[in-house]
Amino acid sequence: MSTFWQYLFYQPILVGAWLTLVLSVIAQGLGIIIGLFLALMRLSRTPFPALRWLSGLYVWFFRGIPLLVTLLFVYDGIPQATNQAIVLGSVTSAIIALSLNEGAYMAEIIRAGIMSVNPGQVDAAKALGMTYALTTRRVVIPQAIRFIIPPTGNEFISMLKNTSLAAVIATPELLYHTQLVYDANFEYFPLLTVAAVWYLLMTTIATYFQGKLEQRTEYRQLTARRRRFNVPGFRATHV
Amino acid sequence: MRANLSPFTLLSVPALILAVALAGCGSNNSSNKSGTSTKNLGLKSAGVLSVCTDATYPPMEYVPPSNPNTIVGADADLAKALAKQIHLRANMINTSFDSIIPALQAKRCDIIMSSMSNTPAREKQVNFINYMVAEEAVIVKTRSSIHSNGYAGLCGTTVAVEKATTELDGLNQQNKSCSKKINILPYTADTDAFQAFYNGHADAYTGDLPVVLHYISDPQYKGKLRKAGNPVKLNEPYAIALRKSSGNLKSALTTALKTIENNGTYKKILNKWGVGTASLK
Repeated sequence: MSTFWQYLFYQPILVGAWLTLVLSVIAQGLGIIIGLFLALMRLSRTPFPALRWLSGLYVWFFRGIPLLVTLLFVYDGIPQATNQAIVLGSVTSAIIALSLNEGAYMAEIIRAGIMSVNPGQVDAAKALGMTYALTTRRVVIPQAIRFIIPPTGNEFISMLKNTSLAAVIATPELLYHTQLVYDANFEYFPLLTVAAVWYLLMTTIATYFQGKLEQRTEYRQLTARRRRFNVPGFRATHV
Repeated sequence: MRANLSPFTLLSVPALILAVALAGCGSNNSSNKSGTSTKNLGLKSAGVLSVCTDATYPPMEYVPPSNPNTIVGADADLAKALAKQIHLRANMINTSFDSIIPALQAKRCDIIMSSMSNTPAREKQVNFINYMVAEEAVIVKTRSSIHSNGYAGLCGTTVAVEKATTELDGLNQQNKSCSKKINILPYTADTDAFQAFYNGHADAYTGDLPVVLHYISDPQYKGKLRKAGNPVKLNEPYAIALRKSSGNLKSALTTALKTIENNGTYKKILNKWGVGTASLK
């Protein structure tokens, strides 16, 4: 037990936990951006299927390969394939692999969110003469966000845990530092408990903030008639 | 209407599963049916000497590309020779080096034979039988400007190493007297460490001398690698690791080791794998 308390606030482990958090935030952010573009590409209605096809291919590929394999590909595979021309450090490799992987999942989540918005909204926007771009930006996406937040919160919590895979490519995050300590002192159980505690702390805080975010975008209780017009940007006085 | 399941019925299923699982966990005294006395060696499986080894360390223990289902090397051959001496069959079990001691303690195997050095920290966890001399060396690319006897010249460079090794300890020790710190990159498998170095993630790789020599003389790296300088001879020889409770097995193996040292088998195996100079005089 004393080993547990001795290492709970051990500096390298704190540094590792911080990197886990930073990696998660950056990778999730990039993943959302990638996913947004992919989702819009998938939903595009151009006569040429290229955008839809490319988006589908990306999602198929990065959902189909395990994240661990992607990490190893970026860190070990690319240098060998390019004859050591492109060698990315462990943190860079981790961010790239995590973002690419996350982009595929976010694409599906955002696409589902967009499809959940009442199609009548798009018709109304068209009737008002709004362009596709304007409609998407100002009518569809603001409403889609409400459907996107819960699964995205889920993804972020997964992301916090997925960063632990980067330990195999020597990324100095939480699990990596935990392993270095127990490799030297053979205290596997206390050290792994320390790691578990820190992961739980971060995921619990993330869950709390997800709840807060959901509250802010909540669909307030209104009468049926007024609910139809309760959208951002539409002033009820015009009814 | 379906009758409610009584609590007894509900509990009986997990209880049954638990009973079956526990039955399989009974400790196995080597009751050798052939009649030769195996003196209650406390083996994991009767008639078999289970050996944990991290097969990422050519030529000591590794998985040959020609047959991914076996483990070969000096340690594998030595283990087989020792097992034969005490009328057992050796079974090599590939185990990650940084979790190899808990694997032994959890009885996933009976001994560790994995180029493991006999260090004081490890002595607290296991018992040892010394069997070979250990030296550490550093590999750099031929065109590198690094020259280092031991780890002295590695300050300020990036070095790839396997986790939980005496090399890692040595680098950490060197770092205490480095003004510009060594950037140490530990990896779970030694082959990962070497690959990381070769791919350019690190300027140097450090491992035991037999392994270093093996990589340098490997045809696929011909001319690309060299030793950084003189190797470091450790005071901590390679040793077979056993559980603290394996007194009988330790005596049996110590005698077996003496026998194969005396009858030339030991030297023959070491020479076969190119590590003849590392024999325990």
